[in-house]
Amino acid sequence: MTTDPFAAFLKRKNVLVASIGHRPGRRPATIPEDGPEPVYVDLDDLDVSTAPAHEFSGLAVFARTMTDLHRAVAASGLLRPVQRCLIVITEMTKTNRPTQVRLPSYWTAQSLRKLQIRLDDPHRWSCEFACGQPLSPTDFIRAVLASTTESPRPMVPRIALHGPGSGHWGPGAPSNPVAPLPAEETPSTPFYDVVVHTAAPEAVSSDERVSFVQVRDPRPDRRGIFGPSGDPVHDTADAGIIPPIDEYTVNRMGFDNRPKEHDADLVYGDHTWQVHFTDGKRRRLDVSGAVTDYDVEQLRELRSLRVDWSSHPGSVAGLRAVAGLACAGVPLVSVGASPVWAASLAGDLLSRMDMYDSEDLADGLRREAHAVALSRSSLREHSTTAHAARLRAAIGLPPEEAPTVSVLLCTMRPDFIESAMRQIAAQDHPRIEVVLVLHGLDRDAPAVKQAVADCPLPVTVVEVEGDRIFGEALNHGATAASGDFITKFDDDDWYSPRHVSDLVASARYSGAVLVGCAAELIYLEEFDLTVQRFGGRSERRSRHVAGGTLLVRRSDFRELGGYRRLRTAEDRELLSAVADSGGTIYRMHGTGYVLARRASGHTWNRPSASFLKNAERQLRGINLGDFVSRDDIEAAL
Amino acid sequence: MSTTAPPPAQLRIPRNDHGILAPPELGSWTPEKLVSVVIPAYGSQDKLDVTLAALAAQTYPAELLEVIVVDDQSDPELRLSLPCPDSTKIVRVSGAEWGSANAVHIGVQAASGDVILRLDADILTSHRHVEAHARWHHLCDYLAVIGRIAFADITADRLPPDRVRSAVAQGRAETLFEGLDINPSWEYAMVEKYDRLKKLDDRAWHVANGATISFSRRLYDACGGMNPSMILGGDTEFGYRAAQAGGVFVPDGEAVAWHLGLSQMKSRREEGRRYREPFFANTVPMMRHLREASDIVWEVPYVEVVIDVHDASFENVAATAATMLTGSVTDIGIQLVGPWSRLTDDRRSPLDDPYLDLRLVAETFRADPRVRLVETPGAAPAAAPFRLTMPAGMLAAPNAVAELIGVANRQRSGQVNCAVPGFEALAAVTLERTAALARAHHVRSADEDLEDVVDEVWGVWWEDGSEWFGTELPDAEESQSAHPAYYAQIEDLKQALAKQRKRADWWKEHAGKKERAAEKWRRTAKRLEGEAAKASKPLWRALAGKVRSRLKRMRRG
Repeated sequence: MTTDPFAAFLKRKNVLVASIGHRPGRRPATIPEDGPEPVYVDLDDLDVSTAPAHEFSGLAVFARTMTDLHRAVAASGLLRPVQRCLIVITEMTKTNRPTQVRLPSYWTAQSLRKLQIRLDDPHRWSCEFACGQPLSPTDFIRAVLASTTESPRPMVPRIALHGPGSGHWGPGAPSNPVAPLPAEETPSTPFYDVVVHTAAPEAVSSDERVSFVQVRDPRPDRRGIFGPSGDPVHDTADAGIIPPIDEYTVNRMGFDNRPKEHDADLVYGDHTWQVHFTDGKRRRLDVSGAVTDYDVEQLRELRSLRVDWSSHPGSVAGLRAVAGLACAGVPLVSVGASPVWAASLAGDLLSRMDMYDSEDLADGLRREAHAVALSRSSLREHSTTAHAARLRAAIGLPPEEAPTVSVLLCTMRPDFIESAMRQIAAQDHPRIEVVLVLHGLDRDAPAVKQAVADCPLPVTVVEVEGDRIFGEALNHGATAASGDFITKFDDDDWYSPRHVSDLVASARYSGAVLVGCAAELIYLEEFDLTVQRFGGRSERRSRHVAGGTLLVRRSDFRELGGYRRLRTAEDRELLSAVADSGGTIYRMHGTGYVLARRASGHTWNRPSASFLKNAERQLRGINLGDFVSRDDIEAAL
Repeated sequence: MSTTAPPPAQLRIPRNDHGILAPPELGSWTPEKLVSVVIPAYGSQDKLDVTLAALAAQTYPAELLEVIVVDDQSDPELRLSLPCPDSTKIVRVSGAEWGSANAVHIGVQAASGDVILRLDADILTSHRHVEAHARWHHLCDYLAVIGRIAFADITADRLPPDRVRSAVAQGRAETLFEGLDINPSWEYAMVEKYDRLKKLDDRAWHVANGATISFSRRLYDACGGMNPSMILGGDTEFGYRAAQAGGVFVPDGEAVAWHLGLSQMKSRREEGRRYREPFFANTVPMMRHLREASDIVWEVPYVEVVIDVHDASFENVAATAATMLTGSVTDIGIQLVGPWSRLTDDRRSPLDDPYLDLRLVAETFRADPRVRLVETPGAAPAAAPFRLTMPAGMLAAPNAVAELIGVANRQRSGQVNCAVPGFEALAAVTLERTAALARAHHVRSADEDLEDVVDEVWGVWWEDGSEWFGTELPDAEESQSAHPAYYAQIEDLKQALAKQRKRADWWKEHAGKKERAAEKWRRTAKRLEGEAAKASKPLWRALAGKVRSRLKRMRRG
């Protein structure tokens, strides 16, 4: 086809076409008929022994989605450097569309002569590089992944992947994992701690400082007469048999919390799960069970996805797909009860799926709470982070410690200290310290003494005179904090016990400098009413989050200059400092936070009635805060 | 009919969503309630005979079925002939009034059942027709049940009553119409379209008709019954009021019946519509299109505004009432609630009158037909679909009423409470939906808060009223939309725009489909072309190609 924008690139002599994520045997691009035939490889099949050894004038990478491109990083290390590279994503999502392409700033990459990005149909995105010096294909791929990985992936242990399909066991960028070197090239210091391999490991490093972990190629055996045989599940409850979910691309980003009407079914057919939509459309998930960001984007309008377990013969790939969909916050429900072969999925994930029917999720808040809970379970058990933890254990490394979080609680009202401290103590994040800033209160006041004594967490008390402005008081607290992250609690609001751990998790998968949530739920005491606002605007990058929810790295907080010395709007100023310095703000789900609007005695003098504006839902006679702080929002609906 | 003991807790149906009702299967339950079938009739003895013959073959127990034929002064007088149900009686209209609405009303007065089934005198019912209607009324006493009617182009002379009776009794009534054209009624098409009326909220009454509808005696009395002055369209108007009295409209597809011949609605449709319009305009304010762009004063207001004038100054009352009377919704009625009976004509010192302000208010509005002076407001408006309560001294923007009703409809609420800065009460303004209020009053038990019950049956919504209400009028210069004339224009434009958008979307969608289809065709053509080319390639060349590529691969390996 002459209109193919890639024809000129592919017509060159000696081009290598590498694809990933496409169905085997299906070529992602039209190859010009009159040109020389390029060499094809599937990056999922590549290993040290099968990688093409000679040099190519150009490399074209056809990845189906960004999720697939992330998986291509390791295998791309087996390819020779090239001067020209074309990277095509045939199914690009809105949430992961790059806003930057960033090569490493070495002199070789500074030979960049041409960089062209185009979006030539609603979903096909491509980027063409031409350099004066040959660069490693990994550099080109990472350049495209740069904007979806603002925060680094865990670097320990350093993983090498070997054998066909091993990429599924370590999707990663920017620096981890890698392809192992051939045994004869083993350097004095190995580049990696562990080789995760699907094929025999003889071909690679024989260094005894390196551990070897054997895994299965998650793609079904293609040689069977009856088509792919699937990878039958053994009687195990071990989550480790499921290849990890790439939570950096498959996550809740883009979740829409407005009530939805239509459901779809997840049914087995043609050797894999298929989504059957009500309008007759179908979407086939990859046979390996790797759910992609694009799959997820197609499911955002669903009220629920009904998993028809009984249609599935039972395979690891089948479980992996369900774990991936759960991680992305797709509201899954079981048709009937989940089967025994699903036992290696997180237990609470299964019991939640079995608990609800599609009809139950007509309530938008319940649907969201369910989706968030599924996603939490899957992140905890099935993410690359969980997989890295399992690998550490397998090779004898100590477990990775969770980041430390300092919770700033600044108050001038002794009546609220007790309940605020109790809510901080109830947080399920493992490493929290409290910085209690007493704004004009005496540390010897009985309410303060009691609350500090009752708190099982380390508490640092900071006294600030009452006539100092609020922003200044907060800065004093931040100076006394020692955590990796700082987050702020307001003394009279309600927080779910998972609030801090959710913030830390979303900081990780979003890569944002500052995360928080909007005050989507507000309890108006005068009206005895909880209102819900801002439908459809959470789980995305945003300019605004509520002041009582923001979480930021302590180092970033210091570089941003902390809070400005203002009487009001100190939160807004901090947010604009983030935006003005080029950082991203991420707004996570708002079901774990309820803003209080008390009948009187509030420092913020806006009439409560204005909170009724733009309310999407009103819960009469219910203080949702009480339910949220018990992590039981669904009981109120 | 009222009982002295408190009635058992009533089911609380939200809006018109009757999905929570689970009626028994036909033939599998034991009826208890007496059903009175009321049939207004004028002439056409032969059709009446068919109707009665079919009623004589019902599955509903004969001892629980009475039939009242109301002869609307036919000449010759109608008579009862066999077969007909055992307890069938004929009542003759004697007064000056006439028409079917009047006849139904007389029939209901003569009926003794808890359940009234109103049928036309040219309806042939299936054998479970009465049973299907009646099963619902055993569940709940504020329902109106609509049967499923079809029009059959047949005359009574082809339907001998004995044959009708036996065919109906055997459950084979449809065999009587074999080979004939049967047209379903438009009402039933509407039923199918709107999920059995469950999603029609406040509009379900549109399907009310006289051919086959049943309701409880209580609902009939609560809404005031049929209006004898409606010569045509009385059933629709009655349905509208039944809805305002809290009635829920339930269609029953198994309450099958056939109308003998095409209806007048069909044969002289346009004339019928023209006749009904002014009557509906006066009595059914929810038919908004009939009151468009006119300042005519109609009988039933769209919104009843209640202002308490106790202890209020004349200026405050006058200002509040005046802003309401000059808003963009012109068909409102105002009730000024005060101790009017204390105003006497006795000699007094005019300027030192203790009721001076009250007297000035009374004089100001004495001649305006939209304003009424009342001592106490009713529990719910009689027929207006909304009631708005506001304090004296509050001013409203011209668009306030329209906006507030917009909120109620968008949020599907039975009541909207507005908080307004500067007023002591939290809900300074409340807009109540009559249908919700009436149902709440009916199902509420003595110790329950009315607003909680309204919330249960229809939903209560809170709104910030500061944009529409206050102690000062919004500056007209500042906000153009506050001008009633501009506001109406803007609303019209908005509606037109929304319509155009919808059309554009439709076109976009369909154009897209066409394009996709074209693309598919192109692809298929391309594939076929390729296959054709392959097929025409000589065998030796194909073989050579294969060998070449294998050699290439070996070299690489």
